[in-house]
This record gives sequence, C-alpha cells and structure tokens, in this order.
Amino acid sequence: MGFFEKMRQIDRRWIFLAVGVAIILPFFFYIGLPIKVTPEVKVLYDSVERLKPGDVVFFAPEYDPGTIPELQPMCHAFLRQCFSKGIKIVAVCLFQLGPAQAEQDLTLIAKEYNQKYGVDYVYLGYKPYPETVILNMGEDFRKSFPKDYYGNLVDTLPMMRNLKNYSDTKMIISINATSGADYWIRSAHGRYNIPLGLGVTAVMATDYYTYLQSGQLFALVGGMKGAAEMEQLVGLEGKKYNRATARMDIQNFAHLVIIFFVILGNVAYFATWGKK
Amino acid sequence: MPEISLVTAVWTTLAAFLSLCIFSFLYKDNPFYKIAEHIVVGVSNGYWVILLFRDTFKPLWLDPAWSLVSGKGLSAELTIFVLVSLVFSVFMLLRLIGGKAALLSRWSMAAILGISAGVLIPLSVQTYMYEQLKGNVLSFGAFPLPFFSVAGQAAFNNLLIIIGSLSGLAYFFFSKEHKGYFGATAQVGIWFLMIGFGATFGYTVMARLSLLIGRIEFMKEWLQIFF
Repeated sequence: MGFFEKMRQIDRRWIFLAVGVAIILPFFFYIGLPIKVTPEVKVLYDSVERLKPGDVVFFAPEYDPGTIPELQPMCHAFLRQCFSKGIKIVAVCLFQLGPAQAEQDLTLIAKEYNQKYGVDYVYLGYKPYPETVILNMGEDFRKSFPKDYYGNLVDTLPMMRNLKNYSDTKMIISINATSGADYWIRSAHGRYNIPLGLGVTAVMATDYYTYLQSGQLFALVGGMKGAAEMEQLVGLEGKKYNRATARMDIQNFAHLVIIFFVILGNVAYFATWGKK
Repeated sequence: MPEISLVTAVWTTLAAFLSLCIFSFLYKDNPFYKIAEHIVVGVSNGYWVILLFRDTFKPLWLDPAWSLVSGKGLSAELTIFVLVSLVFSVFMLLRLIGGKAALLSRWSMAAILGISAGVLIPLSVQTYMYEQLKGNVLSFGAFPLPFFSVAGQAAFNNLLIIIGSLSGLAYFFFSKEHKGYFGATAQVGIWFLMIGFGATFGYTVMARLSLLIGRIEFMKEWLQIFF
C-alpha cells in the first residue's frame, strides 16, 4: 500500500491527536499575530462611541456555557465599552439555558466599573416563547417583565421609570448562540425598525451576513475572531481583557494543521483516483 | 493563580473530570462518556423545568389562579385568561388518556398554530422576502462606488451578488430542464453555492476549534489549582 493510499485510510483519531497537539503547543509560545479589524465589527464600536453618557442600549446576551470561549469575550468587551462611557444597559436573556450566564456577566463587568443596579443597568431575566416576548417588549417592557430577574417591580427601579419600550433605547445588541438571533431580526428590527447588531458564533456567522448586506443588521461580530476584534477596539491592556485575542494565536496555529490535512486529503484522493 | 476555596476546587475538578469523560468519546464510545452525556441532558432539563416554573408558570398562572381561588379578587381580564388557559391545558393533557377525549387537544394546538401563523407570516414576509429582495436591488455602475473593495459596497461586489442570487435561484428551479443557457446559469449557481458552503465550513472549523481551545484553557486553569 502506497503512502497516499495509507493516508486515505488513516484512522481519524490520529487527526484528532494532531489537532489536540496543535492546540496545546501554542499555549506555551505566545506569538501575538496581528488582528485586522473588519468594518462590520468597527461599526458596532463606532456606534457605541457616538452615544452620550446616560443613553440606553438594549442588550440580549443569549448564550450558555457551551459557547463561552467565543461569545463571552465579545460580551465582556461590549459591556466594558458601554460602562466605561456611562451608557446604561437594559438586558434580557430569552434563551432558556442562558439567564444565569447573562446575570454573571452583567454583574461581573458592572462591578469592574462600579455600576449600580437599577440606576446604571437592569436585568429583566428570562421568559419563554422569545418571539412573543420580543414583540410585547416593543410595546412596553412591563408587559412581559412586570418584575426583573431578582423579583423587583420594574417600576421601582429608577432607571426604568422613563423607559417604556425599544424606542427609548438607542439600539439593540444581541450576543446570541441560538436561532433566537432570527427572532430579533424578524420581530425587533422587522416590526419596530430598531437598529440591531448581532454577535454570533462562527458557525452562525455566514447565515447572518445576508442581513448585514440588506441593512437589517448594522453590525455583525462573528466568532472568536470577531470577539478579538472587539477587544482590540476597546483597547484595554492585560490578559483578562484580551482572552479572545490570545486564543486567536492558538486558533491560527490549529487552522494551519487543518489546512495541511485538507490539502493532504485532496492530494491523496486525486493521486489514488481510479485505484481500488 | 488567585486563591480559591475548597468548594470551588471540588466543583472545578468535577467539571474537569466531566470534560475528560466527554473527550474520551474521541477514542471510542464508553461508559464515562455516557455518564457525562446523561448528566448534561438531565441537568439542562431540570434547570429548564425549574426556570419555566419560577419565571413563567408561577407568576403568570399559579399566582393569579391562587388569588382567584382564595377570593383575593382578580380583574375580569385575568380571570378569563386563567380559566381559558386552564381549559386549553387540560385539553392538551387529554392526549395522555387517548381515545376520543384526545381529539380535544386539537383545539389547543389550533389556538397555538393560529396565533403563531397570524403573528409570524407578515413578519416573515417582511424579513425574509421584502427586505432581502430590497437588499438585492443594487447599483453596480453608479459613480462614486469603487470598482472593487474587499469589504463593503463596490460595483464589482454588487454585480457578484446579483449574478450569485440569480444563478443560485436558477439552480433550484426544477420546472425547466437544466440545459443550454439555463443549464449554464444553474452551473454558475452551483459554484456560488459551493463557495458559500466552503465559507460555512471554514467558520464551522473555527467555531469548533474555539470551543476546544476554551476547554483546554479551562483544563490548564484546573491543573494550576494543584501545581
């Protein structure tokens, strides 16, 4: 059996091992490859930069621990940018496995910037049937959320007194690991025409570029690369502020290994063309 | 590594053990993987049930129903809501009994489907047809668009979108045989589709690797508890 025939029948576990080694090795050698910021991420950063202190952004972090490596860095970078500028946040999570994760992220970053609950940010929590909830909130947040995540009446929170619905906010940003992203496009932007920006996992990104091109989204942050771009734009020094950026080094190295296997597989396929 | 409590160390170790159990599937299926898989499904399910009860069933139905039963008084609107939802819920549960009684569950299903269709059809037409069609009405010759740009509006990019959309649609049009000019257009459509799938594959690899990197980073942090 020739080399290429062997390659075609290689046990896939060798490939798993090679990818595993390719990911573990770069943990010991930080290269710091440059990260180019794409326009679809820059526009999100610029839009937040143009807001004035006291403006309100509606935020929907909807992901569970399974997608933390990709989505948490972009969620944290976005919250840091908002809180550092004095922008207020109204948050919900309409993904059933994400409410505790969203609460954890909000409180963590709010604490970093000494933001006060009820004054600088509010977390409304979770309700099922996202599409209905999104539509209801377009009329009045209180319709779906008479109480917040912690059981406080929404009207007792100082920040919420002058906030009725999406039109009192400047934009909606959803960091989403689910098909819930479609609901925001369809029901929040489609019905209420509010500027909508999305942060999604890399798997989802290609599906949502069509909405970016059609103007239904004004910004799109895709996967770990997008998260790293957000971190670069926010520009904070230190490892804890640049987790996605550090991971992109490892990602690049692993991509080289995958590309090598794709080329090898194709060469082996054509080299053994017609042979049994 | 900051000081961590014993409880955190125990939970982190359990999480690391379960991660290793899941990774063991890469070698082959085994009982450790099965245990971890069942725990994930069970915990997710339990979490969701409690969440639905706490955030939805209790505040939206149980509390008003209790107010009604205990004579605390309830608005006419809420009373109707509580009673109608009770009736529809019972209808739905009659499926468990089976027989003719189960047919009543169709009323509940009809209500759900009817409301969903009424809400979603106009929104879907707006989002997926009207807005997307509008997004394809592009200028490809107008000044001052640049001829080519890697990202953003450019005459060449707009032309590419129009050709890609039309040829892609031609590929999925099966009422006419794919021959001659039409066949050639459909063939161009296949190329666009394949490039699209390629981009999706690339992003999928990136996403899966991101998750693996995150997990290995977690394992590294777990090891740092001990060493």
